[in-house]
Amino acid sequence: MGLRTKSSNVISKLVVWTTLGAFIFFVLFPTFYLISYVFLRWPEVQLEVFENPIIGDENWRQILKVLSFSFRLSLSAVAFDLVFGIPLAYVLARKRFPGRSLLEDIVTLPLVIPTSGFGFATSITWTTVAGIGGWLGLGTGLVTNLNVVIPFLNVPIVLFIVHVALTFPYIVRTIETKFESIDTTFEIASRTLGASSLTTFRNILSPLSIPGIFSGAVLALARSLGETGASLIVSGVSSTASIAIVRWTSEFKLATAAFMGSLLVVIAWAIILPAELYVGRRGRGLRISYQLPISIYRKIMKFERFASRRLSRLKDGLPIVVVVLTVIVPIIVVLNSVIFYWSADPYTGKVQGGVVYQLFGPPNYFSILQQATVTSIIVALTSTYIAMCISIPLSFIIERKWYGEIIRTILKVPLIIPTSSLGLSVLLLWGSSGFNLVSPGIWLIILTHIVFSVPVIVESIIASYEGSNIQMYEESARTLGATAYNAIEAVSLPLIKGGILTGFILSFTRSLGETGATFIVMGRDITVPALVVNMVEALAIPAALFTSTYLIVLSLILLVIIRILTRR
Amino acid sequence: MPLIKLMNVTKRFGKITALDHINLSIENGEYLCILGQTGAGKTTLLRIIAGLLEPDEGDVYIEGKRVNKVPPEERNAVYMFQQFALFPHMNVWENVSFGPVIKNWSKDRVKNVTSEVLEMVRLAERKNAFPHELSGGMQQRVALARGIASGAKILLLDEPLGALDARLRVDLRTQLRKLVKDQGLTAVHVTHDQEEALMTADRIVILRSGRIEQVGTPHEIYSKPQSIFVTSFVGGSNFLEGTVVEVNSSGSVVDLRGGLRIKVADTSRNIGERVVVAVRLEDVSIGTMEKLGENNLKGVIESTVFVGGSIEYQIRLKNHAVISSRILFSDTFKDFKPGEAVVISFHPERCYVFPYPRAGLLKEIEAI
Amino acid sequence: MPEVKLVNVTKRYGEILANDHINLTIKDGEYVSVIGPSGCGKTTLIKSIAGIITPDEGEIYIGGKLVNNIPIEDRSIGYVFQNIALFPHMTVWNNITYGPTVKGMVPEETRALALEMLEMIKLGARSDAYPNELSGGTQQKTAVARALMSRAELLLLDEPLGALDVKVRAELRYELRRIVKDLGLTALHVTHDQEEAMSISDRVIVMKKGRIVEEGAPISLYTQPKNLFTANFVGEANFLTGVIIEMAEEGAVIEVGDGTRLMTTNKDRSVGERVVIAFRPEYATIEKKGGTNTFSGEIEDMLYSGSIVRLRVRLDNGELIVVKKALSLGKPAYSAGDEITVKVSPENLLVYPYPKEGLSKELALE
Repeated sequence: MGLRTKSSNVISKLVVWTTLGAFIFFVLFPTFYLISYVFLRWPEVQLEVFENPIIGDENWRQILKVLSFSFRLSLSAVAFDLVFGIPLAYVLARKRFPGRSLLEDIVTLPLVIPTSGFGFATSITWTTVAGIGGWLGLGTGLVTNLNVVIPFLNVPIVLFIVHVALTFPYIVRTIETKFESIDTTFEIASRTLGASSLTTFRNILSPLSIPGIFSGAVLALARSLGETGASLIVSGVSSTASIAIVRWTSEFKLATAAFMGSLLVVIAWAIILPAELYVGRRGRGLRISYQLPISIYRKIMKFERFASRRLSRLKDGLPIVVVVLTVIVPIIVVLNSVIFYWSADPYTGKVQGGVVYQLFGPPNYFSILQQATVTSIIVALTSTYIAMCISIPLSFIIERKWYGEIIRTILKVPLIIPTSSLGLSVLLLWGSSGFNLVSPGIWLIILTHIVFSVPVIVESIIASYEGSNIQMYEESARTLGATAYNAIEAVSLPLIKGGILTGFILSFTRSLGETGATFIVMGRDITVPALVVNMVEALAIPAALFTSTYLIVLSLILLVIIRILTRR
Repeated sequence: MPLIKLMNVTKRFGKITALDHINLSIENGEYLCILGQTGAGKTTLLRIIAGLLEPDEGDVYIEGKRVNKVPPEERNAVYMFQQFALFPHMNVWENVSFGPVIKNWSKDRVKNVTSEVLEMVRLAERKNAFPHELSGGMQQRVALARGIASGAKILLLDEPLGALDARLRVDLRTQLRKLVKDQGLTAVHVTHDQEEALMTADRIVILRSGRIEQVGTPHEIYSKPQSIFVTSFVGGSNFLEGTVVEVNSSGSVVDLRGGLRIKVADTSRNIGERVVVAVRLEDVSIGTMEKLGENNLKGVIESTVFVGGSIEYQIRLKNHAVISSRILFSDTFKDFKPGEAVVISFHPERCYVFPYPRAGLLKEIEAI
Repeated sequence: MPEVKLVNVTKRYGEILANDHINLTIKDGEYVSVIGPSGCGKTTLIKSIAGIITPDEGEIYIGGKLVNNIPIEDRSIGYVFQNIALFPHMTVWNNITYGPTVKGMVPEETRALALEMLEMIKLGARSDAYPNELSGGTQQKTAVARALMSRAELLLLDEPLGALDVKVRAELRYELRRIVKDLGLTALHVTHDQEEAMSISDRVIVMKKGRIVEEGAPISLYTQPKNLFTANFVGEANFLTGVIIEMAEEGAVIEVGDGTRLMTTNKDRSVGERVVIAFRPEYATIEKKGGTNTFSGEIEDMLYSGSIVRLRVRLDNGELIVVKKALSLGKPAYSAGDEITVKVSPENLLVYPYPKEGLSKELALE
C-alpha cells in the first residue's frame, strides 16, 4: 500500500513540476518580457523616444497620437457592442426559437474567420461599387473611401465597422453564457411580483450579470486594441497602436515599438484592474428605487412596461440587422466578387485584373498561396499541439492546487495583451536581442502562438470542468478504488472531452487567423492571413479576393466541425 | 476491535469549526446513522472517514490501522452521494463494473460480480441504459450496486434518499437497511430525517454544531434523550417551563406557570430549581372523563391537524399554555372537535426533566 | 376575490402529456394541495396558473377573469419557489419591498406594510441581512413575505419546503397555514410529500401522469380513497388480492390466499370478481385467538420509529403485511417470532377491482 502511494506521489509531483516549468517558459516569460525589456534598456528607449538627436521627441508625440486614436476607436466600438450585444445575448440565452443556433453561429463567425480576409471583405463591401453602393445603384461605394470619419469621434467609419464586427462575438457570447448561468427563477419571481420584463432586466438580471458584462467588455476591448490583420487593410491613412508596432518593428525602431507596446499593456491593465477588483466584490445592485421622486419612478416603470410589450420587436430586430450588415453582407460580397472578377476585371475588361491571371499567370500567387497554406497549417497544428500538452495538466493543476487561482489570473494576461505587443515581446525574448535562440521564421511564429493558445484551451477546459461537477465524479471513483490518476483517465477526461476538443478547435482557428503577432515574427516565412495583407498592399485585389474567400470557406468548415463536436 | 474508529477528530473551515473533537467507534456490520441539522458537520464527518478530507487534528482508524494519510481508494469505503454521481458517460453495466475493472480483477470475475450485483438490485434488464434514462429510485439502486460490486466493506451514505420523493423514501429506507444487512456490510448513513434514522439504524449519533450530542440505539435516543435538543430533534414534544416545588422518594412536583402542578418521576432536581419538562406528543392522552390517570389537566381543544395515520390536537390549558397530543388512528379511535372541553393526562414516568437552559429554551428547540 | 378555475387545461411536451384536460376549481379562501410522484404534471399545473407556462389548450380563470393572455406580472399572484429565489444581491428589506416598489406604491405605504410583514415572520431585527446570511427556513419565510407584499390574494406554493431539513419543514408548514388562514388568502400548494399535504390543506388533489386521479378532504382521502393508487400514495397500506365468493347483506365476502375469508362492507362488486383489498397498518388489531376477519401469522421483524412500532407479519399463506401499533409507555408487547392473529374490521377494508395492468404497476411510485 505504502509503496504504491509513494511512487504515484513522485509521478504526480513530476507531472506538476514539468507542467509548471513549461508554463513559465512558454507562456509567462514571453508575456512579461516586453515590460522588463523597456526597464532593462531604459537608456536606449529614452534616447530613441524622447531625446532623439535628429527628431527630438517626435517619436513620443507619435506614440501619444496613435494611443489616443486606438483608445478612441476601441472604446467606441465596445460601447456600440454593448448597446446591441446585451439585447442579443438576452435573446440567445432566454428565448427558444427556430434558427437560434444558426444565429449563434453567425455571431461566432468573426471569431473564426481570419481577420485580414474579413477586413478585406468589409472594405470591398463599404467602399467599392461591388458592395452595398453598387446594390443601391450608387455607382460608387456607400462610403467614398477608407478615410471618411465619424463626426465627433474622429474615427474612420469602415475601421469602426470592422472593429465592431470583430469584437461583437466576445461581448455577445460572454454575456450570453453569464445570463444562462443565472437561474431563471429570479426573473420569474420578479415577474410574479409585478415587474415587467424590462424592469426585471434592470433590477435583477443586469446587476447579477455585471461580472459577465464586464469581462465581455474587457475581452472585446483587448481584442480591438490588439487587432492588426483587418486594421492593416482598412485603416487607410490612420494608424492604430497595433499597426504602429508592426510598422516600427519593420523599420527597426525596436525601442519605440517596445515602449509603446508596454504602454498599451499598462494602460489596458490600468483600465481593467480597478474595475475587475470592483466587480470581484459581491455585485450588489444599486438601490435607485427611493432616490427618485415617486412620480418619475412611476413614469420609468410605465415606460418599461410599454417597452416590454411594444418595443420588443425593435429590441430583438436591431441587433440582428447589425449582425447581418457587419458579418453576412461582407461575406456575400466577397464571394460574389470572386465570381465577378474570375476571368477579367468586369469594369475595364483587362485580363490582368482577373483572378485566374493573378493566380496562375505571371504573378503566380497560387504557388505562394500553397506555400503559405502549408506554413499556416504546420504553425496551427504544432502550436496547438504543444499548447494542449501544457494546457490539459495545467487545467487540472488550476482546479486542485491552492495556487490555481493565481495561475488562472496570470493566464488572462496573454488574452488581453494586444497580439502585436505579444509578437514583439516574443521576438525580443527569443531573438537576437534576447536569448538569441530562434530567429524570425516559422519556429518563432509557433512560439508566439503557443502563448495565446494555452489560455484559450485552458479556459475552455475549465469551463467544461466546472460545468460538469467533475469533483463529485472523481471522488466517487476514488472511493470505488481508482487512484487519482485512474480517476482522471477513466472519469474526468471523458467528461471534459467536449471542452478539450472545443479548446483545440478554438486555438487552431485562432492560430490560423492570427495576423498582428505573426507579421512581426514571421521573417521570410508567410502565413495565409499575412499574405492577404501583402496582396492588398501590392494592389493585387483579385488575388486578395480569392485568398479571402479561401480563408472564409476554410473557417466555415472549421465552424461546422465545432458545431458537430459540441452538439453532443 | 471496532471497524472504524475516530479519535479527537477536528476539522475547521476558516473560522468555522465543522467538527470539534469527535470520538466515535463503529463496529463491523453495524448500521450507523448520523443525524443532525444542515451545517451540523455530518457530511464533513463522512468525508473524513472516506478520505476525501483530511482532519486538522485527531486520528482515523480503519481495521485498527491509522489511515489519516491513506488515499480514499485504499480504504475500501465507498462514498455514495445524494445525487448518486453515476458516471454519465457510462451505462449501467459500465458503472457497476467500474470498481472491479479499475481494480484489475480477471474478466470472468468482473462479469460474475457485476451481473450478480445487478441481479440483486433487480436491474439486470436495464444494464445497457444510461443513467439519465433511469428514474431516481433506479439510479439510487445502481449507485448502491456500484458500491457493493467494488468489494467495499463500508458504505458511506450521504443523504442516500434525499433526492427521492417523500413517499418513495418511506419504501426504500427499509430496503436499504435490508440490503446492507444481507450483504454483511457496515453502513454510515447521514440524514436530517429523524424518522429515517429511527427506522434504519442500529445506532444513532446525534450531531450538533460539530459535536456529538448523544449516541445510542434508536430506542435509547427516543426514550432516554439526554438533552432538550435531542428531545426536540427526535420525535415531537411539548416543553413546559416550571419550578420544582417538592421532591420525594416517588418523584417530584413541578409548578408550571399559572399555578398548574404536575408530577414527574424524576428525582434528580432540587426544590426551587427552574426546569423544563418535556412530554412527547404521543404520551399525552385525551379524554372527556374527569379523571384519566395521573397529571389530569383540563383544557379545550383548540385545533386539530391530520398528519397521515394520526391526528394532532392542540389543547389550550387553563394557564393558557398549549399542549399538543398525537393520537394514532386505530379501531378504537375517538375524534374530538375544536371547542370541546377535555381532560388530558400524561404519565409521570413519561416526563423528561431538564434544567432550564442558560441560553433560553427557544435556542435549544427552534429548528428554523 | 381569487377563485381559480381551470377548464380542460392541457399541456404537451413533445409526446408527453404533462397536463391532460385538467378541470379544477379552487374556492376563495381555500387551501388546496396537489400531490403526486415526480413527473405527474403538478409543477406544470401551478406554473400554468402563474403564467410561467402557457397551456396548449383550455382556459384558466382567476377571480372569474380569463387570464390565458395576461402576462405573469399582471396576474397579481404570490409565488413561492422550491429554490427560494430571494434576490441574492438585495437585503431582506429590499427583497420584500421589491414588489410594491416596481408597482409604484407610495414609499410610506410600502414601509408600513413591510414592517407588518417582518413582524409576522418575526424577522424585524434582520432586515439588513443578505439572503445567504440566513438559514434555509428563514429564507423561505422571507420569500413568503415577499410574495405577500404585493397584496396578492392568491398564493401559489411550488414545493415550498422541499429544500429544507425535515424538522424545519414540519414547523414551517404550520406557519404557512397560519399565515394563509390569518390573511384569508387562497393557496395552491404543490408537493411530493403526502404528509405535508395532508396536514396543511383543506383539500388534497392527487395527480398521476398528467391527470387528476382523486380529490378530497385529507381525512376522507386517507380513510376512504377511491382508487388503489391514492390508497398507496397518501399513506402506508397493505394490499391483498382475492376473489369475491359471496355477496352478503352487509357486503362482499372475499377469499384471499389459502381460504381466509374476509367480510367487507363493499356492495358495488359482484360474485366471482377478482379484487384487491387494502387496509391501513394502524387499523389492524392483534387478537388472542382466531375469530372473524382474522389472519394468523408470525412476526418476522419489528421496526421501531419512536413511539410507533411496525410489526411485519408473515401470514400463513406466505404474504407479508404490516401492522402499526403505538407503544404504551415505551415497552414493546411482542417480539419477533411470536405467532399472532391479526384482525381488521369489515368497515376498514377497502375493496378495489383488480387493475388491468397488474397490482405492482398500479402502485408504482415512479
